[in-house]
Amino acid sequence: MSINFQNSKRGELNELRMELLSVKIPKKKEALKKIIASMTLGKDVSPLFTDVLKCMDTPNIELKKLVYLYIINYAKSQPDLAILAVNTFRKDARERSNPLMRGLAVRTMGCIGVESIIDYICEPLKDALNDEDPYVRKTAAISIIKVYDISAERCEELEFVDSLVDLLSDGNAMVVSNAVASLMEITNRRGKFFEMDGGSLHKLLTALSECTEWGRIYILDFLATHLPEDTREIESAIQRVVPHLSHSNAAVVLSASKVLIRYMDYIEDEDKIKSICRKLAPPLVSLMSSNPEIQYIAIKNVNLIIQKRPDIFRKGDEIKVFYCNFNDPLYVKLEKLEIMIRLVDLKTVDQFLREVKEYAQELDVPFVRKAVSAIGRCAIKLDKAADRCVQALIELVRTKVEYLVQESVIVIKDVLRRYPNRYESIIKDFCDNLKALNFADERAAMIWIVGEYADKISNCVLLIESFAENFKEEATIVQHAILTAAVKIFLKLEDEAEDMIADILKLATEEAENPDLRNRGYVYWRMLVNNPDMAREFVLEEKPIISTQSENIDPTLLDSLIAYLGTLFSISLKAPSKTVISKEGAKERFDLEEHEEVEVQEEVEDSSGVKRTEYEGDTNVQTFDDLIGLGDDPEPEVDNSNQEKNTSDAIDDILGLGTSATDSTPSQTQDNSGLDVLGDISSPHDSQYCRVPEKTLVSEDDESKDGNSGLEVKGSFQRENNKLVLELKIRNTTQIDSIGNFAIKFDKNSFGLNPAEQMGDFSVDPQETRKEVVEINVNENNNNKAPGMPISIMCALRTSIGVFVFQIPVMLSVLIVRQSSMINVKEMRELWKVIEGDEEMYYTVSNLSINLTTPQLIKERLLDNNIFFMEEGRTDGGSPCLYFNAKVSNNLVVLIQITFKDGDCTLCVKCKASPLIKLTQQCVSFILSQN
Amino acid sequence: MSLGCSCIYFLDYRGKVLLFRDYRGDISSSEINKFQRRLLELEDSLSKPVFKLKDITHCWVGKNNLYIVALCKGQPNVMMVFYFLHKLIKVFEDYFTEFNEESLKDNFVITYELLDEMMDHGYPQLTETTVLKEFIKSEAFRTAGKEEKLTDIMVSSAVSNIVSWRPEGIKHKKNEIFLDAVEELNMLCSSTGNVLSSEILGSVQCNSMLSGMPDLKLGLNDKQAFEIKGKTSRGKLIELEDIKFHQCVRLAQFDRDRTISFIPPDGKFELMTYRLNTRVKPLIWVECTIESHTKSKIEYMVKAKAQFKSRSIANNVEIYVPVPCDVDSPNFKTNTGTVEYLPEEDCMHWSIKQFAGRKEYLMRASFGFPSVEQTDREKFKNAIRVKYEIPYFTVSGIQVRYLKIVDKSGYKGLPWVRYITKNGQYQIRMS
Repeated sequence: MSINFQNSKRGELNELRMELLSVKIPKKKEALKKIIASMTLGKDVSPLFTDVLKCMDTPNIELKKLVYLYIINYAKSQPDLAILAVNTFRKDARERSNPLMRGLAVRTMGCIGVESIIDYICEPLKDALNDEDPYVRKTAAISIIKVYDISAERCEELEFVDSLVDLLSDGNAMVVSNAVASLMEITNRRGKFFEMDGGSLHKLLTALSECTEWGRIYILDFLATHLPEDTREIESAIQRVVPHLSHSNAAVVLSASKVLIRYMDYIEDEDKIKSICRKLAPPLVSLMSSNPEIQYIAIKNVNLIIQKRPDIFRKGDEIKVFYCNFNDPLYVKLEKLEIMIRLVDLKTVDQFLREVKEYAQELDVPFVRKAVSAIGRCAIKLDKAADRCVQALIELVRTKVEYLVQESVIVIKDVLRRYPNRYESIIKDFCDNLKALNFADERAAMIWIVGEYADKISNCVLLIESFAENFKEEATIVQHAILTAAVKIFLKLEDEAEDMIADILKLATEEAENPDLRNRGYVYWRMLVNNPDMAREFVLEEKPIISTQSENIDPTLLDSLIAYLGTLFSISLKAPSKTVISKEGAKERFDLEEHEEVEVQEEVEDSSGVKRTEYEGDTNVQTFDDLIGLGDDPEPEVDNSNQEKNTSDAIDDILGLGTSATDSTPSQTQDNSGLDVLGDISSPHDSQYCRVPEKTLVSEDDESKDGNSGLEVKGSFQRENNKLVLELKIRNTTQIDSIGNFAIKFDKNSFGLNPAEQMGDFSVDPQETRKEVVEINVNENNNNKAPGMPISIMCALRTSIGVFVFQIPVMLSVLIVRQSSMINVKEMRELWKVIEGDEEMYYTVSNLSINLTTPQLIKERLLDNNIFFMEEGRTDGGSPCLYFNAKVSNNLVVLIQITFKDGDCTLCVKCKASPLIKLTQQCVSFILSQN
Repeated sequence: MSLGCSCIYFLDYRGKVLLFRDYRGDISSSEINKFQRRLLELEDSLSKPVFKLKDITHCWVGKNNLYIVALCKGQPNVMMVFYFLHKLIKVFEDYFTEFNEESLKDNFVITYELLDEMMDHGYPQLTETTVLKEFIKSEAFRTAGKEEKLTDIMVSSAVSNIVSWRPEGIKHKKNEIFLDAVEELNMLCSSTGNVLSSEILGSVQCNSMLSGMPDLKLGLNDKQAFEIKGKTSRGKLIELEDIKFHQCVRLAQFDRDRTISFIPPDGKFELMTYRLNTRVKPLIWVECTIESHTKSKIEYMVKAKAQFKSRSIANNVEIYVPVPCDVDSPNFKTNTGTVEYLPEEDCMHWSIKQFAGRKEYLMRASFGFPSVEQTDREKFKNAIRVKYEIPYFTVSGIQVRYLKIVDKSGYKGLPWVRYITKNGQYQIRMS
């Protein structure tokens, strides 16, 4: 077909108009095809709209389809014109002889997205929902979303949403699956409203094995977010879902895996879990032989799945599946390497190294760099294989290929830190290759090494001086590194380095433009002058050991990501947002997507693709870093936004003094500001106190730092008699050895939790379980950082089989103290008014316990959990509400408003420290959801 | 929360929009320009198949110099989106025999119709070519046929059936079905001959030409099936790992007793795929030694050996051996097959029409270097690739034991079975 619009446009349009008026259908069709062709080319053919509409009333279905295509294109941009077509649409939707026609009309009508059309659409849509032909019904099911998009209120009024629920009982599987898709999308918009019961579960499972591949995806995705309540139902669902792992559609396989992994959490029978895990592995592996795009998404998802269920790939040879082919696209190769690092163990480490060394010789620089860093990460992960990994790295450095040396330096820094005093001999090889270090990252790493091993490197002063030659031009990270290294060298060598340190401090405090660097320079300067011993203590302090655990995703985040396998969440690793909405948003129609816009603003990942073990950037490990000791963290140390006044420590003091630039000696005392350690201890009364459910902290297969396993620890923080305790259930899963010599230590954390006493001297015999209760002190070892969401405490447990490091999640309820001095109602009202804007959030309690039927019961329940009732009131909208307050162990007061409207229970939390708001929401809704 | 995509764009290799379909109207038409810009700025291999700009997700697939881009808002099930895009390409290939810029331009009306029928409001709907062809006729058919009336084109009965992939009333003169058991061998070998990883990807391709609504039952020498039914077999039984089926196969029944029963779609389709992780030695082993390497010259000796039984023959064996990028004046010596130098791929290509089992062939090659030396010549690193086909032979030993065909009308269908082994990702690293 030739499309030529070069000559005068108007003439051309007229010609087409004439052709459209022709009585002969083929001629009309030709004309329409030409029109659609020029539409495709981006030409404006909208002046012909009315003429095209005239052709719509024809018995010829082909011509009709062409007109429809034309209308769809202009429906969005020129809705007022599209309305003209409404009557014909209505007529077509009633066309009894041909279901295709009816479906087409219903489908196309929905594309005209203007509110005024809605009254015309609704009636045909209602008919279509009850049409005798499933093609029409399945089309109508999807059309309901379109109507909902145009006007949610009208859609509710006309009970379309309810008719969707009715469609779940339809005899045709495709209708059911489309209804499920609609239902899920509407759930996204207005919150969960459909509860899965045994009957509907059964219907969905029946439809699951009958509908098209796409329908199966909708149903499986729906099952993944709507869990049945009964464990028996869960088991029967699992049975019906397992066969779908054999489907040829990769998305069906992934959605089925998602359902299984979610449902497995509710099964207790270990054998059943094992058998499901066994079935999951092969289908996931064979996704690796699909198209690269599908491989990429599959690998990303496999990475999540094996963090959740490490047992899935236990055979040991799965790592081979992820070896890279040289013609794999780069994005696939990089992800494959990630999985390889995750899967490598002592059995496979030799093959792994052989393979990765091979990659290090390829041409693709980002891939090669990642391969090199993989060797280092493997060294950090596997203590017993570290020698071999380091040997491999040295081989690479000796090639003197620039990018190999560069990347090796960056990883070797982490390896040196992981194994202090083990590999000093290799430093020489690196010192021979300083010229290759062209980029900031590797320079900073090398400078760190020089500073750290100053006593082993004879010319370290010279080295630092040469690094500092272009101090002003260097990247901030390098400047920080130089400064810290210089201080370290001075403290070690003293006189020899005196000139050098003077130069560097001068550069850092006078020449540098970065205020953080200047501050840090002053702090060091002052410390070195006034109290060198203290400086030594801080700067040369022994560093805590780093681990590869930082690469794991936080378990709570992981769980929420698992529910969204296959979707964008699994690729971007961003948490699905809660239905938290602002006050303004609550009054209007609330829109989940709007909220996501705010949350995920950047790209899925940076395109460079090289992801390093970012110990500094990672929250899990951040707590380990002694900022001054490590010295290469460019972040400002003082978190201005969420400073909690009551907590401070020595580092802060020095900083404060440093910036005020006075001559006073830095104080050495740690100021705990006279906080009550545990709040007030009052009479034990915990009738309805909500115990926090215990979590598995160490599972049977987790390995200690020494690579031993066989310990299982479950537990959680609880509040007992108004004291904070850590309850642990320690089980020895080994066959022969008893485990003893227990000791526990917490890392610095935002609430300053620390064990008040060590665990008693006891040991656990094989296959035995012991319950231990450890009392916890509050505000002892505080890192002065605002708590994250959710709070968890990094904890190290020493045992006779090695040290286990794990995180213990904390529910805020255990940190709420029984208050002594309640603020009075007046103060509260004022405070309520004062805190406005960002610090106030609304949150709907979705799973309010059925036992809490009256406000009085809620008051009692909260009182039992140390949340005090203040007064009753009314919101601006006139709904009754209750005000409460609570005091957290660090003396911060939280205000809570609970509103009841139409059976919904909405929380509003106000607090000066914004991080506490989400935590309080989580805690209150937890308390209110307990039966 | 599986949200589908908002619109689908077809772009040419420079990123110019050829055609698009907007399903939801919630993304502005300027968004695609951002994709174009990325396309022009970045190298293909650098960007990922899915990326997010502000709140809009771009998912793209490249094929035959065309880009198909799906833009999505919210949280799409990206796996579904990609699978759909690939399915889309397949349906277009079925309709237009080829999928490229030309065929798209020639068939844009059908393309629009297909896009309309295959996806509704971002949710994939009907994607089986055989079913779609029932009510979206290809151009060739339209011009040949008479003018249709409204009643002539109806929704395929398949849509309303439980069997959504097969319309009723199909008639064939001869009732036959062809089964091809095709196995591809993926293999990665080190230069020393160690097999680093190997797997067999098998599939059973069908071409069904059966009338009515036949119910089929396929019996394979599947070890687990025999175990479940408590039977023994004289022949070899194999352990199939991870079988995947076309949607026509009754999965629940397979899960229960490993019976493969199905009502086939009409025409060609892939009935099942499977994977075997057994260790296989390379069927065709290629060894390449550099005999001399000076500043002006490089000489290779390439040895190819067929390591399968002598009664089988490999057809169309093609061996690609990489060479440095700046070589010239190629010179080849061999008594079997032909060799040529492919400068655009930096390799030499040795093709042997027929390669009998247990045979071994030699080839010598020499190249000159230009006097101006390239600095990064040493860094070049690549793998030898081998392509081949071996008919009447499967590595796994899979066998079709029976194919029962039952139809109401009672005709006797004829099944035909063929076996073939091919190379998959077959790479041998060079030392």
